[in-house]
Amino acid sequence: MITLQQVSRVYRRGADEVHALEQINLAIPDGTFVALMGPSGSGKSTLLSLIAGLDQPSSGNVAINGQMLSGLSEDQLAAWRAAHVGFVFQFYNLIPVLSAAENVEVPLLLTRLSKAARRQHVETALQIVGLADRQHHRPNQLSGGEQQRVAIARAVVVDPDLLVADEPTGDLDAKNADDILDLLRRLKNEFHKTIVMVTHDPRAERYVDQTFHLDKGVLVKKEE
Amino acid sequence: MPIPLKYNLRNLMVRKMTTLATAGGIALVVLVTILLLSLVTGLRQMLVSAGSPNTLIAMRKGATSDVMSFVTRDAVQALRYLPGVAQTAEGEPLVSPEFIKQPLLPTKDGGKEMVLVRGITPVGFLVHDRVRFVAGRAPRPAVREAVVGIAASRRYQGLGLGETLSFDERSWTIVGIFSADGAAFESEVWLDVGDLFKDGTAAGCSGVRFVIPPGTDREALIRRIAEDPRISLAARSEIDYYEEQAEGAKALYLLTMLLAIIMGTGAVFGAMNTMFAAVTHRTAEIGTLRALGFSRRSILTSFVAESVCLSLLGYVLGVVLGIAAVALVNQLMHGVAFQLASFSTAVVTLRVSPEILLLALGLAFLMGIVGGFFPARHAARLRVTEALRRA
Amino acid sequence: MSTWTLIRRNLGRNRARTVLTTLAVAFSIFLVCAVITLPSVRTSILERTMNARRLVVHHKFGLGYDNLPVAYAQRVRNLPHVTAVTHLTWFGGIYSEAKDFFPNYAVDSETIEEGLSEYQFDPVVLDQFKKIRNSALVGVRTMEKFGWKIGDEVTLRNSVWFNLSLMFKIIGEVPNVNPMSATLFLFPRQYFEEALRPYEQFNAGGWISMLMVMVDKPENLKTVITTIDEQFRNSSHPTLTATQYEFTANYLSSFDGIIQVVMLVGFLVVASIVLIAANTAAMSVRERIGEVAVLKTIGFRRRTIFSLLLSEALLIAVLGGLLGVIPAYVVLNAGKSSWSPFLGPLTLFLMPVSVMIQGIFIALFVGILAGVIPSRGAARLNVATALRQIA
Repeated sequence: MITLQQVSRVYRRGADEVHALEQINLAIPDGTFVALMGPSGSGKSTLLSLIAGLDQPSSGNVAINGQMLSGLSEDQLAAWRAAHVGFVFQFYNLIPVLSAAENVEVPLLLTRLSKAARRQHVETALQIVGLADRQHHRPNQLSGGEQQRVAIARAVVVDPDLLVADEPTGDLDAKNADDILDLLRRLKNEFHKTIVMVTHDPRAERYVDQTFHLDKGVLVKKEE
Repeated sequence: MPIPLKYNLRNLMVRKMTTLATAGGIALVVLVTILLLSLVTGLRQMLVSAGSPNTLIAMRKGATSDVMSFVTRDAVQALRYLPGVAQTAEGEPLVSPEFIKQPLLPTKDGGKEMVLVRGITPVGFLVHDRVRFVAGRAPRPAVREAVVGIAASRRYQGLGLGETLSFDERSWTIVGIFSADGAAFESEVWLDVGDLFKDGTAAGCSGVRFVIPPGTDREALIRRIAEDPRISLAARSEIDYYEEQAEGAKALYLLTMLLAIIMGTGAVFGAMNTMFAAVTHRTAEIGTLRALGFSRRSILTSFVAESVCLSLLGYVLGVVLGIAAVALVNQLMHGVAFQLASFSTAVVTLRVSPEILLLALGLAFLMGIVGGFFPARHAARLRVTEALRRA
Repeated sequence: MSTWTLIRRNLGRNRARTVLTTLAVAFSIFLVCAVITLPSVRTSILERTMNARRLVVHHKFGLGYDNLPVAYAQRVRNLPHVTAVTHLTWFGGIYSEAKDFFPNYAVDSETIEEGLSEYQFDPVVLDQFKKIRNSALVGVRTMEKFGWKIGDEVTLRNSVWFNLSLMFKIIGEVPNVNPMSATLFLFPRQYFEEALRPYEQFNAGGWISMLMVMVDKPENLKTVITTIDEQFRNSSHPTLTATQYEFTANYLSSFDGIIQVVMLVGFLVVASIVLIAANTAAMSVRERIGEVAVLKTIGFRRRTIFSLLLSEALLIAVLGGLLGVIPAYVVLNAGKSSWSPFLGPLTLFLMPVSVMIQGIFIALFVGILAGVIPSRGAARLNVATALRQIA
């Protein structure tokens, strides 16, 4: 369960204060796939950062599965993210010098798993995303869709409760975008992941359980 | 069509930290080069400037320096009246028998060093025509007066004007301080030769300096001095004598250049790094420029020019630092002491010459060209379409 | 895979840069080694020529001032606490040219063994040295320098002692116990005295340059020093006695200036690599800001990121260090070391292993200095902002 209570986030840009988020109240139950939509500058990325424990609110509380994020130090947050959150980015952000399998293995370096166990996890993750046969390729030898699937494998390899995706289809063609959205929905259905995704992609509505619309830092009612 | 240099200068400005770090690396090479070469130049100046073409030095055959030589009083007398030796207006031969002793004297830092003490006669100051008194006057004979070179005066205890020099149970009052165009004499103490011996007389001297009038057949005179059984000494012009002494400085010069080149090579790698990064960073720009119609050659020239600008910036920085470092060594350390073959100590004042600055400029330029060439060639060889795609 | 894999792969990412930086470090460390060898030779001469129970006695105003009567040896030998006395007389012989300097002494073949006990002369050779009139023991470096071998007959010219030219038969090596001993040339005093006999009228015989005195216990050194100098204080040849350490240190102190300059150069060389390496580290971190952000997002802690990036810098530095230190060791030890003009014994160098270790430490230090700031900057990166920049 993700709960946000009275969450505001104020940035300082030079002399100005930018109110990125104002008084957000939000609850996302476990095992749901939600989309955050809104024009650029609406605060959706800020909201995602707060949910993912990358940023702290200026006021209000963020709690994920009972864990209050506010008040954790940077290193505590890092450790929490390592155990509970998987990330997917628009530009995949794979490490170019590592192979697909090695990229997937990176988060496991933070665990105490044995070499063999890590190997096992990596293979499972790559099987889930359907790339077991491409594991020795470097990112520049993979297509955009494939790279994004490696990135998703990297996100799920530690078996986190929460997946956070920032425009995962933003750089992909229609076919690949559908594949990725379908893969994310499967992760929710088969592995009971909670997925929060920022997107501009209108086709995302067909895959998600719920969509939140943001505008100028506040949640607006869905026009259904 | 060439790409305007302004484009490169702007780029250097944008990457301020990188530009400064790279130029700083080059500046340090320039600094070290200037520092070491000015030391070697000072060393050569010290040895070579002492020589005058019309002054000859006569020593025992086989002696390599007057410290190692001994000349009898009879030989000196014979030399004084040898035809071809210059005289003063009063008819006094310009012949200076000099006796050398090397006592240990205390330095201002609390050490003890062998200092060359030269016993001379009043005519000696006429023979050594480069010697100028910066303070005081020449010593009078038989009253225990001494004069000191400016370098010696700065380095040793009790060698200031009016102070007292003591050794061998006797003491001398310092009545003058002299300079000698940076020659090794500036690290010496000069006093009356008669005073140097407790009984007031010397059996002879270490070496003899004498002046010949311009136009004298020097070689014939040298042969005569060697063959005359009453004299039988090896004479040579002071210039040749000091050239021989400076022989060792050549090795130091080479060593210095080698040092500068090795260090320069290191800096070239640094410059190459920076330029490679500049090229990578600007791949899209290079593609655009090529698409606009600039040739490969102009891209190549442009990047080499940028690298040369970088090295020239380093050069300017290095020259400023180098001159400051030289001044610092000369002021704080009073120059650098060396040990001469005779074991006495000579202080070298570092000298920056235009040649050194030019040589350092050449080195900086070379670093710029070499450091820029390979990255520039890499940039020039980029395929337009590929470069544009990386926008 | 491990974190190590990540570091290694990252070094391979921009191979040209890694290679260039490593080479820049290597060249500089090579130089640093060459440069710090000079002071380390000074230290090693001091430490290795020192005998805690030995005193050196020479004329009160220095070796270059005057000699001492040979009879002093016997008088010192009779003093309390003195266990052995031997003496050396500076010959000042030259083999080929004056710049090819090596120290040569007439020694007392009867007392040299006890007076210079640490040399551990071979008894058979020593026996020959006593018996063969014109025998000579020569240090290995001097032998190599002139291409001499045992059994050769060599002639040394001289200008200090009446232009004597003496022919010697090399019968053995001077044991190589310290950097100085390897350059020595020793011959029996009797031969020297015989050669001086024709010059008796000039009071030529019976002089020595210095006494080497062994004292029973180090505590008694002070007493013996005072006794010796007191004994000869009012004679025509007063003495100055010092421990061997003081004597050597004092002799070497005239090189302090050049050592300071050399250390300054070494410091500047290190500064230039720090600049180059820091620039490289900054460039490689800057290019990778996005990846660092991803690693942080995934949950890597500051410390892990910091050590990851710093390790890269350290690895390059140490690799460069090794590539500099090893060739330096090989090259600097390949040359035939000998006395050099102006630098005297400081070029009797052989680069000790300790300099290699220092070189590696300096490289490590450079890596830390160069890597810390960019790595810390990256580790402190604000993920939310950084991700926005790359997205």
